Amino acid sequence: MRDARGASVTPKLVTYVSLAGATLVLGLLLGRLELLVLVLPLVTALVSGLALTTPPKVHAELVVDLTRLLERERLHATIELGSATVVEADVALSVPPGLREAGSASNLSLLLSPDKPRRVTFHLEAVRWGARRLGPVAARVWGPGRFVAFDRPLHDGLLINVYPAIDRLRKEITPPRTQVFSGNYVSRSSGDGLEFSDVREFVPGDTPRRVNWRVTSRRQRLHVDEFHLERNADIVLFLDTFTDVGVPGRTSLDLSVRAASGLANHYLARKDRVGLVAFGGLLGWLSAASGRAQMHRIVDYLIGVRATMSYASKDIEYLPRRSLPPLALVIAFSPLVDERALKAFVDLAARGYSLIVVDTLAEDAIVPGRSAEEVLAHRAWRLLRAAKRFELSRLGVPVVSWDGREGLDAMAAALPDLRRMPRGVRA
Amino acid sequence: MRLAACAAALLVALALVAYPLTLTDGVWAWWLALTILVTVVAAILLRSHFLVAASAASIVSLYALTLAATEEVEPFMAVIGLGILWLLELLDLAVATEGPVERDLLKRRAAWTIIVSLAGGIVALMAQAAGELVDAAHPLLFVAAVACAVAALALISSLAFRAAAGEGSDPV
Repeated sequence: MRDARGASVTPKLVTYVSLAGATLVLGLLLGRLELLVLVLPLVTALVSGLALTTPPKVHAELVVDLTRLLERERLHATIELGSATVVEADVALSVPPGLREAGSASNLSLLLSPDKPRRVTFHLEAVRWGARRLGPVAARVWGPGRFVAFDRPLHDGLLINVYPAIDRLRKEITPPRTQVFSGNYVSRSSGDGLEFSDVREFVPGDTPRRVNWRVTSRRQRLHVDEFHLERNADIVLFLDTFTDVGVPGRTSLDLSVRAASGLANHYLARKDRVGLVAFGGLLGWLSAASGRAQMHRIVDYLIGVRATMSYASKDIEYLPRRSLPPLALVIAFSPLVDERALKAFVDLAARGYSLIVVDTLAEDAIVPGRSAEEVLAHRAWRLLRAAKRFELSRLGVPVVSWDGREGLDAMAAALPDLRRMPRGVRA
Repeated sequence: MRLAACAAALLVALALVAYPLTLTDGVWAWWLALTILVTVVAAILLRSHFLVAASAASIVSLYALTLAATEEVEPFMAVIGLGILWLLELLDLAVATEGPVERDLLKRRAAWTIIVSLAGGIVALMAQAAGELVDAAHPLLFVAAVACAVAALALISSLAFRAAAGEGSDPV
C-alpha cells in the first residue's frame, strides 16, 4: 500500500496498531486496568513515531570509474548520498544481467544526515558483453520508529558498455585471395615486394637495382629479379543471428561475438579491411574498412547484436554490395540451426567467396533426455547436423566446430590451408 | 547484527513468558508459554512479520488469561509493556534486516537498544520498590530483569564486536 509520496505502511505499524487495539478491547472486556497499562509503551512509541514522521529529502549521484570495459574487468560504482534530515535508509543499486557484484552486496543500510554526505562504493565485475544500464539507484527511507517507509528513486542509472574479451590469434588464417592495397600477405602476382619470385630478362623501364648480376654474368645478358607483391585482404565476419542457443555464458552468439572481435582485432592490426554482417531476423552490416576506428565501430556494433526471432525469408540478396566485397574471405559463425543461414552459406560459396563456417554450437553440452524417444531424437538431431556440415564440406566450405573452451588458436588450427584448397567449387 | 538481535529476542521472550507462570498453576499457561517461544523462533527463522505479530498477541493473551484467573492487582504491567515493546523492536531487527548494515547505523540502533533497556530497568526498579512498599514483590521479577540485562549486554557487545571487526561495512 503506497500513497502518492511513495510512502507505505510497514508490517511493524500494522502489528503495533492491531496489538494495541486488541489489548485495549481485551482490557475493557475483562475490566482489568493492567492491560491498559501493558499497552501504554506500545501506544507511546507508535504515536511518537508517527508524529515525528515527515517526507524525507534524499538525493544521490551515481559515479562510475569506467563506462567502457572488457569482460572480466572490474568496475567501481560510487553513490554519493545526501539528506536534509537524519534518516535511516536502505540503498540499493540495481545490477543488470551481464554485471555482477564482486565481493560486496549491491545494497546497504545506512544512516544519512545533513552534515555528513555519504559515499557508498560497490564493486562490480563484467561477466558478459553488451550495452547495459547500471541502475536505477533506489532507496527505502524509514521514518522514525520504522512505522512508515518512503520508496525513493534516486538515479536513473548509467549506460555501461561491456566489450567482449579479445582473444589473441597466433596462428594465421591466411586469406586465399588478396586485394590491391599493400599489406602483409604475399600475393601470387609479381611486383614490388620483399619475397623473391623469379628471374627474367631485363626490359626497358626496369630499375638497375634489381639486376641479378650472378645470372647476368652467366647468361651474358641483363637479368632482373622479380618479387611477389605484398597485399592486404578483405575479411567479412558473418554472424548468424537467427538463433542464440547453448549453455549460458557460452551460447552461440557469445562465441560468435567473442570470436568476431578477436579476429577483427587481429586482421585490422595486419592492415586488412574488415567488415561485419549480422544475418538474422534483423539484417545489419558494416562495410569493410581498415584502421583503429573500424575496430571501434565493430565492437560498438557487436555489443548491440541480438538474436532476433523472425519468420521472414532472408537472403544475401538483401545485403548491399559493399558489405560483401569481391575476393573477400568470409568467416561465418553459426550454430547451424536455421535453414536460412545455411542457404546463405551455400549462396556465398556459389558466388565464389572464400568461405569458412565456424560451428558455434557445443553439441556435447546438450545432453539427451532419459526416455528412449528423447535419446532417439537427440541422435537424429546430431545426425541432421552432421549432414548439414557434410553438405557444406561437399561444396568446398571448411566447417570447424568451436565451443569456446579453447582459444581462437584451436579454431584456426583445425582449419585447412585455404590457399591449397581447390578453387571454383560451385553449388 | 541479526544473530545478536535473535539471541536477545529469545532471552526477552523467555523472561516475558516466565513471569505469568508464577502467577497461575494452570497447565494451559505452560502450553501457551511453549507455543509463544516456538512462534518467536519460527518468526526469526521464517522472517515472518505475521508470526512476529502472532508472538506479541500470544504474550498479551497469556497475560490477559493470567489476570482473568487471578483476583490480585498486578503492579508490574508497565515493565511487561516495555518488555513487549523491546521484544517487538528486536524481532523487527531480526526479521527486517537484509544485507550489510553500515557502522553508524549499527551504533544508532545499539544506542536505541540501550535506551529502551535502561528505561525497562528503571521502571522495573520503581515497580519493585512499589511492590516492596505494598509487600507484593516477586523474586521472578528479578529473574526477568537479569535476563533483560543479559540480553542487552549480549546485543551491545555483539554490535560493538561487529563494528570493531568492520563487518558492519563502512564504505566511506
